Amino acid sequence: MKKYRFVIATVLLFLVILIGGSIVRHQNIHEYKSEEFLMDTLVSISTYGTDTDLLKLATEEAFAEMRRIAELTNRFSESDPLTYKKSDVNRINKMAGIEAVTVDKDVFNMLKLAKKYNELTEGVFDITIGPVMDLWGFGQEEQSLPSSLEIKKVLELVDSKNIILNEDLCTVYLSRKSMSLDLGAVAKGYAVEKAVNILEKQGIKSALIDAGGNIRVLGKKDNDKLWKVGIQDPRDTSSLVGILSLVDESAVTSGDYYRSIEINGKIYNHIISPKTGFPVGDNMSVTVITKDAFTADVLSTALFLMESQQAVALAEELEGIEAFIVNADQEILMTSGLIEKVVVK
Amino acid sequence: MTKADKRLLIIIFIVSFFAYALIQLYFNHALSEGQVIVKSRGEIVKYIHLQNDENVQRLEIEGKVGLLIIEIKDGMVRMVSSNCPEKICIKQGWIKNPGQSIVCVPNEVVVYIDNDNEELPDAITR
Repeated sequence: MKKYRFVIATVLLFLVILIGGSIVRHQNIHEYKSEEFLMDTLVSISTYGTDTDLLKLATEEAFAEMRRIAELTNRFSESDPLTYKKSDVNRINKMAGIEAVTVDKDVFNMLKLAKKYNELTEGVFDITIGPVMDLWGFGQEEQSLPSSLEIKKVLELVDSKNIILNEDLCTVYLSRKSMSLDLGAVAKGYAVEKAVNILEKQGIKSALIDAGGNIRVLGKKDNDKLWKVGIQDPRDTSSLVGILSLVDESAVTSGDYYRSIEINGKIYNHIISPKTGFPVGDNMSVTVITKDAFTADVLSTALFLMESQQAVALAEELEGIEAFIVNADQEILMTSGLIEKVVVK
Repeated sequence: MTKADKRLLIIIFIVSFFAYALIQLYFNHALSEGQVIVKSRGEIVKYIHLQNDENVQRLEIEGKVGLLIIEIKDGMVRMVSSNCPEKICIKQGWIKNPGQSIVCVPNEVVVYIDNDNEELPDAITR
């Protein structure tokens, strides 16, 4: 009889632990999610932890930092004089060919890194693409098809070698008049990475930042699961082409479908080649997976501008960089390191 | 083991099972799949159940800079009208899966299909 009592007591204890554990687990891990419209997109930050006040504080600080970077790098805000003046990028562009401008340390750092990637990609990636973007009318109310002559003329202004950086004085000078920077391909990634640094400093161990599809995860989900990040099908917005499993990584996609303009019935995507001045058609979408959101942002644009085989080859060459490409023939190409991280749909 | 012991054991099992199920339900506050949520300027303005109905349902949403029209049909949702300059929200077309969203930045309007299923991705890169 005593033996059975022991069995009952063991079963009881087991059930109490199971139920108790379930309650504690659910009560301990909270999710705090906040959204804000920033950098021309919707940014959401989800943080996970036991202290809701800390999650809220850390998220607010992360958003404040993203807002600061957004203001410093904004390029299309002439209608609002106060915002216009806050932007270092506007000041740099305005003073092109005139004088050097003292900028925020983060803007300086961003430009320094962007110049490095310009060299690495032999000019395929170039943030001095501003005049070409303006000519096409991206970000403006009206668009028109530029002539070859107009393109040729503005392309002369595109060259990152003409960004003169002075590290000691923290100044930036665009050496040719009418040159202009467009940080559309770098600022969002940089801001996301700064936000993650803030979350980490506040002791957050698990978080997800989604800046309009630029994804950065911190740690594991709920501290014990892999984050699942879907890659959108470039030709069917209601489907996915793959699902990534990520930990402490970023996944950023450049696609020909998301932002485009229609001129005379023809669709032109917003990723313009600094070599030709025209949108490229080799790929439908390029997703880059790496440790930080800034590198992922820069390289997704750079690889998108390359022929797909060449893009995979470059990603394989670079350490810690993985790429998932849907090329113009809707074929999927990926780097070898990605095979274990992705489920192709 | 006496009859009473056996009965007690069965009761403990049944009570534990229901307690566990209730806890899971309560803490996961499982919303049914396919719930469309519309937010405008940070506030939830509409909850709509996404039904497989052939009839087109149209909804008007007041955005930051104007009126938007959302269309729901066959378990899918899309933006059909917006006064935003680039019309990215309209060009996106239909969405149907939980976790997907349509965003109109100038109007600060977000339409998303609720994601409360643990099997679904946590985010989508696009």
